Amino acid sequence: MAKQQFGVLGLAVMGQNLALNVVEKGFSVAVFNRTASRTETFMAGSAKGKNLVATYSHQEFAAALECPRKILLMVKSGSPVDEQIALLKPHLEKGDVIIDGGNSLFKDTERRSEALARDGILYIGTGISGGEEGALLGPCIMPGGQKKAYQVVESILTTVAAQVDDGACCTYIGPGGAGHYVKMVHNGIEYGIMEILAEVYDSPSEYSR
Amino acid sequence: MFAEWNDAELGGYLLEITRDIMAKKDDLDTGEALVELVLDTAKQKGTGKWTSQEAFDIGVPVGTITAAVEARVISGYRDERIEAEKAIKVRPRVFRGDRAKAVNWLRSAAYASIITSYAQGMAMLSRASDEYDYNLNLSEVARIWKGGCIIRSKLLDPIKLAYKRKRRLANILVAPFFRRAVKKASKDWRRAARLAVEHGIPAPAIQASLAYFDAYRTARLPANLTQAQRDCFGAHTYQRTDREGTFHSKWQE
Repeated sequence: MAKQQFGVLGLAVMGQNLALNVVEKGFSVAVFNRTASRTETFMAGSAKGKNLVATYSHQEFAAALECPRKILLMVKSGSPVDEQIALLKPHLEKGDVIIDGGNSLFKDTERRSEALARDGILYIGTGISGGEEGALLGPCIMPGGQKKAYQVVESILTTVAAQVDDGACCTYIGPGGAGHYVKMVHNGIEYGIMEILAEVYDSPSEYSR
Repeated sequence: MFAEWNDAELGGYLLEITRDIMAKKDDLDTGEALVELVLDTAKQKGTGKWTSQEAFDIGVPVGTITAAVEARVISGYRDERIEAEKAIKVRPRVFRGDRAKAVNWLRSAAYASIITSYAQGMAMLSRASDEYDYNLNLSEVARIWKGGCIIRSKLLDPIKLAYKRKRRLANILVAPFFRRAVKKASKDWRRAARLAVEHGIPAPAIQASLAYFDAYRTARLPANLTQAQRDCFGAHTYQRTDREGTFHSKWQE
């Protein structure tokens, strides 16, 4: 069987939509989710008939991917990221790339990146914004880590990202946890704007309408 | 209101969805606007809180963002708020002014406060870039935020240009485009903040934004008194405006 060009681990809605987006842009994809039933539902639903292979173990997932492997990790931030990396690592080889696309704390990203670097595995802490719709149609992608790691996945990420008048909404952000740092601040700004709009909606002139 | 604003200089994804949310009628049988039926306790997953915590760690003021985090936190105390409303009777002042005028004030307040939110975030990234040697290209960061993401808006092109012109820009509030925009909005920004204060409506993010703007554009702040107090009770010493050196005084002698 021909190997897949890109892997997505974690099939919550963001993972599903990003996998579909990558397939839509012409790359072959392998997916894996801890709970098999979710994978089955996905394969029978929105992934049906697409260039997408379902796998049911970390080993099978890694074996389905061409080398160097390019794996997008889309699991809940915190300990699930560490768990998945630990389970995946025995099946990876030097030069493989893990992209953590969740909202990880930048300090965790730096720690993971350093630990994986000892085994020659490349790690890109990547902020992804756009919600469900952005994930499917084109999100904003903020990758950080080693530049050489970014270069391995650059063509896929820039193709998958939203496109605006002056280019793709994806650029190499900086070393270490820079990608997740920028995403964190992005979300901080988002909190601010949302609250400002809520306060405007709550204003006395609006009340007494 | 939101629909109109979205067509103008304020346009952006969050305004767009707010417009659509306002127009949405309940799918069930109430016939009401759906947003009015949503429970008023907001969730937060962490990144907003982390931004505030980290901003304290590296010493960057992000009052707008912190106000937003706190607004979500206090919303979580719904039971207490319900009791407190009964216990603390403050007769609400009814709005009797010109609604059209007030809407213009709110629009300026929203515009200037949203600019401030971006200003704080970008200033934080600028500081972090030095702190962690990220070597961030803030013009590029603003550019990629133009599409796909939740904070995409018409303000990102001028932010991109501001950092392109001056890579080490201290704050977008001093860049020509934003300096003009906020100056023009500032009168109505104050009126909107006053409107909230007078009517007893909490508007922490708008007020924190205004306070940030006023502090940032003030050459001399009352921190001299703070330093004097610190020196008075803890001998923390102070510096003077008129000569070099470190000083300590016996303030109560």
